[in-house]
Amino acid sequence: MSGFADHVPYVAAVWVFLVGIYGVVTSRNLVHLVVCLGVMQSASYLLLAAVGYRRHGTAPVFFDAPPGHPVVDPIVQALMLTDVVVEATVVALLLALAVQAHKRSGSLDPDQLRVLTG
Amino acid sequence: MSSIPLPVALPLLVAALLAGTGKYWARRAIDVVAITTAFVTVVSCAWILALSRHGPLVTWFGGWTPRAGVAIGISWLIEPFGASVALLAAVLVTGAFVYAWAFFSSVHGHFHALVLVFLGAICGFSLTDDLFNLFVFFELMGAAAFALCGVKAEEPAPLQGALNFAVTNTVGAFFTLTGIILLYARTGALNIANVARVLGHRPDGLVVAALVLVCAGFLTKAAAVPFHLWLPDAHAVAPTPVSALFSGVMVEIGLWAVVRVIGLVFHDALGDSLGALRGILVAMGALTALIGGALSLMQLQVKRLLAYSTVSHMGVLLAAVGGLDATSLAGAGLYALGHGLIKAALFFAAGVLLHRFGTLNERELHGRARGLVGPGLVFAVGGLALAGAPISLQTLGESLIHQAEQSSMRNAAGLVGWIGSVLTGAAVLRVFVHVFVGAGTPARELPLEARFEEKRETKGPYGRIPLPLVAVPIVMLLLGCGLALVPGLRAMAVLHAPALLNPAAHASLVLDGVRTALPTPPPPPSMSHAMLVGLGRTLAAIALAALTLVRGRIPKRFRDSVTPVAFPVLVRLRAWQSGHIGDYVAWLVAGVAAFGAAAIAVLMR
Repeated sequence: MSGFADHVPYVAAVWVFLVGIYGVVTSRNLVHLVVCLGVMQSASYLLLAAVGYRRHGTAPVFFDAPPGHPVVDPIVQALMLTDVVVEATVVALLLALAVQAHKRSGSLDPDQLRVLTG
Repeated sequence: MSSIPLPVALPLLVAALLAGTGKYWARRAIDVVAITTAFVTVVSCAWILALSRHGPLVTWFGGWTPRAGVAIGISWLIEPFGASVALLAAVLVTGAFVYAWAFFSSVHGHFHALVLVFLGAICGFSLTDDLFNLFVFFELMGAAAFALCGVKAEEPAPLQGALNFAVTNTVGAFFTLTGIILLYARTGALNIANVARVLGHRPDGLVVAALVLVCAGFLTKAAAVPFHLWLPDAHAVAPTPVSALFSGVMVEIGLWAVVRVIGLVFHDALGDSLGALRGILVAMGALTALIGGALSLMQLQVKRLLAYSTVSHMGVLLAAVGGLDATSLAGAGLYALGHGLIKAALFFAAGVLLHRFGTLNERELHGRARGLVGPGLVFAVGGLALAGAPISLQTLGESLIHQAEQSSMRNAAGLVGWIGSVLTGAAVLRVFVHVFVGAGTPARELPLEARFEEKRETKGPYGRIPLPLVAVPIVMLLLGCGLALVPGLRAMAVLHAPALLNPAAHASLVLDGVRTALPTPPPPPSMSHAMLVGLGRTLAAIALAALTLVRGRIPKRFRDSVTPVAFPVLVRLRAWQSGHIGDYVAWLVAGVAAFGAAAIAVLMR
């Protein structure tokens, strides 16, 4: 049983990624597309959390726990924070573009943006 | 040594200043500050390049040097190839700012701030030696690029181009991040030298998956087929100085990252399977070169034509880089420098056409630019150089790449690459003859024509073309061709290239401080073979361009035998570029899956 439970976060990360990508590919609304992009990127947070976990580890704060006490990996938490900031920037930019699209053509459908083909 | 972070710190600080207080400044003040910052960055990148001419240097930030062979801090590796990429970026950004002086009649301070952020991120990206630092600079450059592409998002074409660009590259960057996370999970390290040291010598599933994922994001940026679909949209609709930056340095960055990662992280871990990886990369490169070349001939919009030509040349570079040996890497570096400068010159010259005539459609421009000598010269010489004429840095690079080609597969890929560059050279020469000379049958309307109008940036009476708009493309072209005359460039490239493929030496330099002496390289081959081949390709490009120009006079029976066969294929190829984001992302994911399947099949023995 513990073997299966060890793999759940990784399976969940792959699932979240697939759901996000499916949403991006089949989206009919730019805001929905951008949010699905965010969902897809959350898969990396799950993966980071899974990679950083240590059995019986506590939070990496050596205030109550003496040095040497097992803690989870703090580096992945720093990576996760950086990742979130990067994603927030890109999502904000994309939403601004989506607002522009709506202002210009009144529609948020990516299929309506067909100016560039071939 | 303490001023090594200057090429990153200075542009970012000035960008913050301009973004925060730019609206209180006069336009010319912003221009002058931006040009000065870019110029100071050029000088400091040149100084860094000079520092590294005897071998790579390592610098640790905050004094966090490694303890007992384990890296705890973030390090930068200063070596000639990375420093030249940073120098190229700084030179192109300076040119773009000088060009923007006259090209934009009204632009907000945030344009200059974004370009400076872009420059700082590229400089950091090319000098860093830490995987996550690499990723952060990659995303910073990407975010600045998305914003720059969509700077005129009030029009439908830049809006669509920016959306396609941003979504596709974000998915690519996600793949890179996942690969980096897997490497961290396996090795517990983020420093490239540390990762390579711990990685071991046999590739298992995780290592191969990490390799594929990390390269996926960088190959998306480098526009390898089938990750290339965003590039023609984005480069064609971005403002002209920005397009020049994108095609000049941003796509090369993707390939530079592939070289860094494969050469310094995975090279020893792959062991005997390296040859199989070569095959995959070279095949991908050859396919890209062919598709980019074929599609560029079918474009009527000048910037889109140049964008497809960028795809094609990136294919040639990928095939060279994919050879994964020192000589072809050295050649690829010189080729990338030459191509970047010449392509930027072509984009800048195309901007003059937009500035003057308000359109970039070859049919509408037919013969109208007869009096524009400067841009015409740039198009003619640039087209010849792209085709392979022995007048530019590209040929220097090619002489080294040819010397390195050994296996029959790489020779076949080299041939395909030549065909691709002949096609793109012919396309640019066709534009030259149609637009600047006014001869030949006017280009025909093809199905699936990309119909969009690019608005000019300047209003008011158009008298003489402003000096910056004429001077910048000529200067870039002179740099691209003139640097070929600098003695010893090939020798220096060949001297420093082996360090890019030696993770063990790199790790001992970075973690132990032990420098391995560079072996004396063999003298570079004579240029005569490459010059002859280049001349042959130039003649082929001129012949092909002439063929398209006299198309109306070809006897009908020849046309009827070729057209029904070739046309449906070409139309389907164009239809692949549908402009729909979902399609692009689907192809990207499918491409990564195919790359991964191929890699696992051949690399895990």
